[in-house]
Amino acid sequence: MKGLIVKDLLLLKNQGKTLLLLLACGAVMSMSFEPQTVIVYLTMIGGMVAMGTLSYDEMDKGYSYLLTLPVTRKMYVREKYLLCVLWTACCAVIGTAVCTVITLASGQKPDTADLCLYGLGALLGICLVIALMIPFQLKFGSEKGRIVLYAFIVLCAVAFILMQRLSGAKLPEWVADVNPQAALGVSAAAACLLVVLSEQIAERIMMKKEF
Amino acid sequence: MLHIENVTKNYPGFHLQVSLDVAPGTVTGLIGQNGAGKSTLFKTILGLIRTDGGSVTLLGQNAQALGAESRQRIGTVLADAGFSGYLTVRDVRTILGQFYPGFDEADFRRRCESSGITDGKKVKDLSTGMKAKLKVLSALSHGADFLLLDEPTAGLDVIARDEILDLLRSYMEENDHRAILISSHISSDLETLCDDFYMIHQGSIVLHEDTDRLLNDYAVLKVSEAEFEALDKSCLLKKKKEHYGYSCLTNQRGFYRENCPSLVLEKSGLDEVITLMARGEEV
Amino acid sequence: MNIIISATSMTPIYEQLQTQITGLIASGSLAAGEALPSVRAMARELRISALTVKKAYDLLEQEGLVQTVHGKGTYVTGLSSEMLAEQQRREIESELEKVVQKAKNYGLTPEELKGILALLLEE
Repeated sequence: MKGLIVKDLLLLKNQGKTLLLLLACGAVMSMSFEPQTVIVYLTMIGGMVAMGTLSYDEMDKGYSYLLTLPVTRKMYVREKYLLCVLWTACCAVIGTAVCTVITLASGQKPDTADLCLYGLGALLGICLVIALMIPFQLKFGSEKGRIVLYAFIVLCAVAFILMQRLSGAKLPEWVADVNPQAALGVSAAAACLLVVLSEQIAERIMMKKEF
Repeated sequence: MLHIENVTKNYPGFHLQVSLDVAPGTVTGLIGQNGAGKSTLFKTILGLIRTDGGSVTLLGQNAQALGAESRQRIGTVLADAGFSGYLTVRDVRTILGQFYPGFDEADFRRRCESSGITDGKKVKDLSTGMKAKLKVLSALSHGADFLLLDEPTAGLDVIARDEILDLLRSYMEENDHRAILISSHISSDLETLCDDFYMIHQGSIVLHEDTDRLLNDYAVLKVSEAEFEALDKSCLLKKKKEHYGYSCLTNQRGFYRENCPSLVLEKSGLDEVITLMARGEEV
Repeated sequence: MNIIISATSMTPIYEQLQTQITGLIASGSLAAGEALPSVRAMARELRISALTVKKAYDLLEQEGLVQTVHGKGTYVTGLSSEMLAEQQRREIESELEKVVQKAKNYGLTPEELKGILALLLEE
């Protein structure tokens, strides 16, 4: 599995220029929107980019060659999930750090607990996307997967903006009573469960595939 | 090394059914036209596709369930697939080192350099010849016991092909127990490298012969209609209608050389054998 | 090694190889005790199948000219050049015997046969 991870990391490294551009966009964004947007944005980019390695593998019948190397199909699937989740987590952490720096730079005191919550929330959200997307991409290919992914992101962006607007409006009463830690705990557990479930499904899809 | 027994695979309009063996210390060739089933056969051996029947035993194990560790002992070249084009040659070297404990980095580096494959170049930016060489060098880089090469010289010029074949010869020279299964539709490659070969046509094996016997005992008789009628046909394999009469394939060159010295008898290479086996009729 | 194989000749490759190695031994270019190249090395040099080389080596061993030590290689035996020459004479004799028999079957007279031989020797 180490070989697969190294391969993916090298592929990501070679995309360095594109990543820097995206980061620059993120920097610009954070100035026009609230600093928390950076966290969500970076986490999202991280997840997308990590899942992009699937497309690279699919290109030019890359799967065929990869599977002749010392790997098993199970290994391949597990590595992908590991890579995507860990990479996204790193991006969430970086995003939170960047947001803290920006807030400090603008002279305000950052509410670290709140930001961390944002970071974790973003991570869980993107993990959900990963859980949905990887099996989809494996089964139907990158082309269709990409369209669905973009649609999903647009949907999320719209939902996020809507939420921002609504945050001024009144929320149902029980929401205020919910213990934030408990809510987070439950979400985290649910996300983990979904990811594991998704991985099992992805394994089954991969086992059946012919190249 | 490799034992294929009656493996079958069905696609709409195509039926593959093959039995084949590769012994240690041998270079076995697989020759056939495009679409005859060479790549399909390779895919069943490598576990890329499922089989509908029969068995494929590779390195003593079921090929469909070959573990990662066993795969370390195999080197592969696929005709239309390799490392991602977005990786550099240096990246490929790093990755190979991670996958194969037996990877010889210094040797791989040296061979790439002497072939003009520069470290910093992305795989997609290499010329066709260099891409093919990189694939072969990758397969040879980790002391594999068995090489499975599907058209490793396709699209290459004569010089490049020659260099790759020589790499394969020295690979075999290093160790008596290694083996290679190589497919090609370039006959001259196989004639100078392989010990024996299988000819595959429309999904079945139509000929299995030692290269030695092919070059020593096979021949093509070119005869007129009248000569054909009078001919002892017991040692003929195939006949093909020509404008001058018939061209016939025999695997008993000596017989015809001694008994019919007046007839036109030509040494046949793999190309002539393939043409007559594929397009000739039964005698 | 100065071995030249003709791909276009009707003589089987293993026979060409066998004949040439025999010649090298007879002329002394290959000394007694000297090792022949490994089967694969020879196959590589001549660009022929390893089985062909093995066939030639096996035949040479049958004639007593070389000896294969398993795991080590093939070595020229100490067959003296007289014995070799004797062996080669016997070979020619048996070939000529076949030709003489064939000539008889086709009804050639001894004179006709001698005439053909004289012509061939002049070439």
